[in-house]
Amino acid sequence: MIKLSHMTKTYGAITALDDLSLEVRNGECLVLIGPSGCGKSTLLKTINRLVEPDAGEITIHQKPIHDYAPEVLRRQIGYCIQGVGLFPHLSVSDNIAVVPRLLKWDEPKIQARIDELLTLTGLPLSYKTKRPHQLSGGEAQRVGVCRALAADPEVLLMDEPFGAVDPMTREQIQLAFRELQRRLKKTVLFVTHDLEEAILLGDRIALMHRGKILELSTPESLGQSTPNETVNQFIGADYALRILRRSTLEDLKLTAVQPQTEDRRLESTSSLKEALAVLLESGNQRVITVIDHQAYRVDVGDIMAHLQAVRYG
Amino acid sequence: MAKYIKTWGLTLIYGLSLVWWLADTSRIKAQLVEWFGIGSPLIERTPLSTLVWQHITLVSIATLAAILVGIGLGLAVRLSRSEELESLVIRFGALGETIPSAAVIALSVPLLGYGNEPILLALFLYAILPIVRNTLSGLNSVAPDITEAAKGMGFTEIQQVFKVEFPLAFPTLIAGIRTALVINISAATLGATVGAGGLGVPIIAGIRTSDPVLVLIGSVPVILMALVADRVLRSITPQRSIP
Amino acid sequence: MTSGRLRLRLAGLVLLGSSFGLPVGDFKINRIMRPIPVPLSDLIGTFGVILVVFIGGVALWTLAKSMSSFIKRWIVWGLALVPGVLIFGLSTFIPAGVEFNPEAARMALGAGTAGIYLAVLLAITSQPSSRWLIVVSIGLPIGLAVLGQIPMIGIVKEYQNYKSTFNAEFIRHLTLALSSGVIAILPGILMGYWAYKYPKSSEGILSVVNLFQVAPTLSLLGLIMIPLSLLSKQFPFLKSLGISGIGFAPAFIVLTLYALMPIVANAYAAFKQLDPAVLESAKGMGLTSRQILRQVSLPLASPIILSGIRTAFTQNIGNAILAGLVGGGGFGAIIFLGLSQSASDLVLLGTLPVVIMALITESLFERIQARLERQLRGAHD
Repeated sequence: MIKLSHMTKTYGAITALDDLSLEVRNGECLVLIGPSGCGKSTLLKTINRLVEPDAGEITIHQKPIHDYAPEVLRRQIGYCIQGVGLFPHLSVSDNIAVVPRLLKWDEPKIQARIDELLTLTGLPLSYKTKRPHQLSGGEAQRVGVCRALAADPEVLLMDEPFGAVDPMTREQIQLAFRELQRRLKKTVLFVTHDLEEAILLGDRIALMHRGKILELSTPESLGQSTPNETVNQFIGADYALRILRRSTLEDLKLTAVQPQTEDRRLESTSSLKEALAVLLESGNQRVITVIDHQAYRVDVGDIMAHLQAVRYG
Repeated sequence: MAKYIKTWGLTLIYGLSLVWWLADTSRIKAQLVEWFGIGSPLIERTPLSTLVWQHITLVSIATLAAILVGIGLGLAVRLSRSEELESLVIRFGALGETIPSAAVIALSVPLLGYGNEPILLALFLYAILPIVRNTLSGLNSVAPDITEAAKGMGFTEIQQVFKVEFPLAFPTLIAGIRTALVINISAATLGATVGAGGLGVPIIAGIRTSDPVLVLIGSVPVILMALVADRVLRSITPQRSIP
Repeated sequence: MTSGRLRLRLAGLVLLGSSFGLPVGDFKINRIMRPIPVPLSDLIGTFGVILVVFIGGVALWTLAKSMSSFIKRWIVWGLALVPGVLIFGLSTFIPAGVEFNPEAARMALGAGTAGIYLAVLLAITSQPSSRWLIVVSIGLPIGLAVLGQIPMIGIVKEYQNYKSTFNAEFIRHLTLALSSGVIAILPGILMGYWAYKYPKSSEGILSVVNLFQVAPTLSLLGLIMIPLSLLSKQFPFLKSLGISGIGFAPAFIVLTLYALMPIVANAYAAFKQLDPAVLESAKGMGLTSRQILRQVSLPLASPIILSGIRTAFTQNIGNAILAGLVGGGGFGAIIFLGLSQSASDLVLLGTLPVVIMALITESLFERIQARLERQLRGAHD
């Protein structure tokens, strides 16, 4: 639903975008990933016209974005950046209300929307009167997400939004975002340099390098299409392990068994990566999980089978 | 290399202009009178070079005294390690800056009479403020790890201040001296209103007789001197390489 | 409460010195005669001085100790009244064995009075919430003067002589200082914003504005007079408007140019320190440039800009004294008049109001700035 065709942009001697074409599907979260300087942020910013390309065209729902004035376009797109950029002189609720007020929503509608968004992102309603400097890093970023979603845009552009947060909070906020995206089904273009984050959040991943897209596929299939040195180097030899995070025990085909007392239990919502780690260290001990009151045996082989299917299927 | 030329080049231009202005005064004056069409070539009682010398003397004495006293005061406050004293001195300084220099000059006349004394006092007082302030802020800006390291190595309080903090505070200090000096060069012109010498004399005379040439004769050297002083002091400010 | 102890000790020292060492008044038979110094002992006797110093010492000592704030309140109130009482005493004092004509004779305030006043201020400011007491300590003598209770004091006599001039020049001075400051605000902020938006021009703009500060005010005054007088000769309508080479116009122009520097420099710094993330997110959200300026940049830059405006105004109040040199009036006229007549009380009459105005302006702006900053930060939990 967002179509970018033949995007080109150079800064002097540096080619940021090299005749790049991409299509983002409705309701998907497409992650742009790559080493520093590959052009992912630049590509993101061409969509809300913070960067004007030298050549190329972008359409949203078949309408060229140049049909709109830049400010009008941006008010229909949510934008989250690493530094968050909350206005320090406004309260949390005034920050969130910026775009709705620009769009001249009625106050009651705005207030209701603020409450809705805070609850969605897991922040207490009492935070409405707080000031940005009173928030922790993770809280500030959540408010940033609320602000981006305030006018209920179809499209969300996110530029390394969780980069400035400490690793523990980052994982929390990533999971929260994944939940949010599952519920809202926005069309999201997400830029990150963190492969784990891409695997966790992306429906599809576009691996970029020097202004070009080297590969565009689901996280499971990444690295499978055409063997590419740069791609393999980037994703690393242990990539298979990383994508195990995407699936849980509930995605496996398991054999039902009778539970025994010496068995080691795992939550059915555990990721396959966790499960594998547990299996590797449990040795001869049986590992089971319970789904709908039925116990199932979990085996390394099951995980292997799943991985093969998902990767080469 | 290019930057080197740029900084010193400008200074050279200013300096040479100044020398030329002083050397060729009568010719310049005649030329200016021609251009402006007004103003009579007054027979001046004191040649310009004398006035410049007076001016430089006034500024130098006052500023030098201010440097000595100011740095001394700043160091003394620092050595006392008294926060109260420091904040008192700073408040006093801020207060002093609010009081206009013209008022200080006017007030010192009844005390010191006409002549050079009031302007010397005023210049001295006004130069002290930025110097003390910068001394204190420079000493305070030394990173606590450095002072802690010094203490750990066995420096006494005094040694710490003199051997560690003071040298590190140098750049800020020079900046304060520079500010004081540049302001003083300009402010010294006010002395002529109460009978001091210096380049204020032709300026005031020019104002009183609506003679632009006289005003220029006096003003140009002052501005040039101020610019030269500013440039020279900027370039001798040691660059702090310590992060 | 150890803070404030230092001030009290200083106050004590100053009090001691002033009471014993310095004359609190200078009695002059007429304007130009040499003054007869009047030490405090003349007013209240040597024993009286010892008593006063003792009581003062006790008062200061009490303030230094942690005692009930009720007692302290009474003490600082008492101290605030001291300058007024002292000046009143000076005014009613009749020196022994001197022949004088009450019309011509006057009592000038001496160094001792300044010292005692300093001691009082030190003592008052060592205690919290002392702002109003400072006003009282100044206000009492002024009030007494207005009520005609201290007619012998030199400054008051000069004021009586030059009353209408004083009032006229007061208004002239204030008008000049404030109007030139106000005019400089908008261009100053715009120039600062321009320098920020187009960094290549920033060096140029800043150095031009800096030149105005480096050049002596007198030079600018002198130089401005020429084109102005030429212009008013060419276009007589300007003269009818009151714009000519002398008087209000040159002083106004020079003061406006001078006010520009702090405003421009501060505006530039204020915009520069804005968080780039805030500006990027504002743009990305769809605010137009003007909306960003109005809703984000300006509010966040306002404290520093205000500080620049404060400097400009305070500076101008002082610099307006020089208007007296070019016929622009203001307190400078009174000061120069006093200097030319060697009448120190007249000089004082011209200088004190300027100093007081400068201090009031500074203090006022400080409070506005503090309130602005609190508003921006938001109420802390």
